[in-house]
Amino acid sequence: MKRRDFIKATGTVTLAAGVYLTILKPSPVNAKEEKDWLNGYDWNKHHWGFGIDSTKCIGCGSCVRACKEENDVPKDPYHFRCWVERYAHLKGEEKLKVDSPNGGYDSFPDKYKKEEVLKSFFVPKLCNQCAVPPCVQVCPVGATYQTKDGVVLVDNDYCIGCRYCISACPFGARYMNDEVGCADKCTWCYHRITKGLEPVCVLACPVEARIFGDLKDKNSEINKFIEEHKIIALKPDLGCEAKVAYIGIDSEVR
Amino acid sequence: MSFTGRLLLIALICVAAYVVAKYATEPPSFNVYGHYRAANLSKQLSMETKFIEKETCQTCHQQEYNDLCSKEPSSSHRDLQCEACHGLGVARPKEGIVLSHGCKIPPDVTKQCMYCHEMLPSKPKGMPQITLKGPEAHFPGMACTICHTNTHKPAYYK
Repeated sequence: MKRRDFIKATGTVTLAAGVYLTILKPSPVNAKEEKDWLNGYDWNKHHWGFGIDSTKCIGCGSCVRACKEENDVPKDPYHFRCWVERYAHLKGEEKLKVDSPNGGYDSFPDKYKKEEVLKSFFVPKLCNQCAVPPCVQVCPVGATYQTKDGVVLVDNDYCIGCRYCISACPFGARYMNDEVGCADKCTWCYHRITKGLEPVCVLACPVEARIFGDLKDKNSEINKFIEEHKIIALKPDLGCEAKVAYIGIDSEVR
Repeated sequence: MSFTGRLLLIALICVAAYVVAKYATEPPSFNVYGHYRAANLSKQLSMETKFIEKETCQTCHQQEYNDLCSKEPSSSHRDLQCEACHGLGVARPKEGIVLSHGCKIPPDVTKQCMYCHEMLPSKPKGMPQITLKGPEAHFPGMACTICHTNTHKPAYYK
């Protein structure tokens, strides 16, 4: 084969591939198509944010009970979209004690005596809707995805149940829903927030420990919360950019 | 056939195989916005909401709503949603019969109260807390509603 022929052949193949890719590549979405799939909701106008004021949480478990009802989460002590943890430093003990019996569904047992507790607090947990979500990266079929308004959702008809996302999530926010046959997770009640309602855990909380709102709306509760407090996100060292803003937690909370 | 021709043929076969595989296996709405099915977004957005919020309850239960939301100092439950204690309000068929809605009076009122008001050292200081055990027990064995008759305005008692 001559050099000239080789260059010709390579050129032809590249050209063919180029033409093919430009024609068959997914075309940019036009506004009409977007309306069709989104039922009239405009996801470019919102960016949802969540805040947790751990200093207010009383560990009553109202959020856990409401979440399980709203989202049809199995009512066993192993599956949670939203749960509450109790952290306790006891006098004379080096190790921190953490418990979450039934995820806080039935509140917490009176386990520690007042005199022996050095410091103790409750931490409500839920999916952090990471800006760089590890669960989306590992999904082999594209069954979990990030929306433009900053929420990570699960396509439960398309999930093959391989559980990669469950082991990839650094926060333990994912669980295998055997009733549906998919690896489910908290969606910040996406079906509610897109209709202008609040997530159920925020509504059910009696002490306003959970704050939700639109980060693109300058007067929203969540923007006020972030401006007024010194906030931290969980596991910032992992680079997944967890979005739930916490206040009042120790560095032991992961 | 020349070498170029054969190379082109192989390339064409590969492209054709890819196109066939793509159209045969890819769901229709895949790749509209990204590497997922846009059809699922429609499903997520049209899911039924169950929690109805207290303004909806007000339409029938005006007296209870007034008690709960009154500005009196005794009404310390004014930030609560009805469904936090009464269960979700959405109508749902149960054992073949469609009940008017899912709410109920909590069967064990004391247990319901103790979800929030049980004395735990982990709770913030301002929270009113009681214990039913030990020397500081707050009337153990009695239902909360014997004294705090109106649970919607609990601090008021006879």
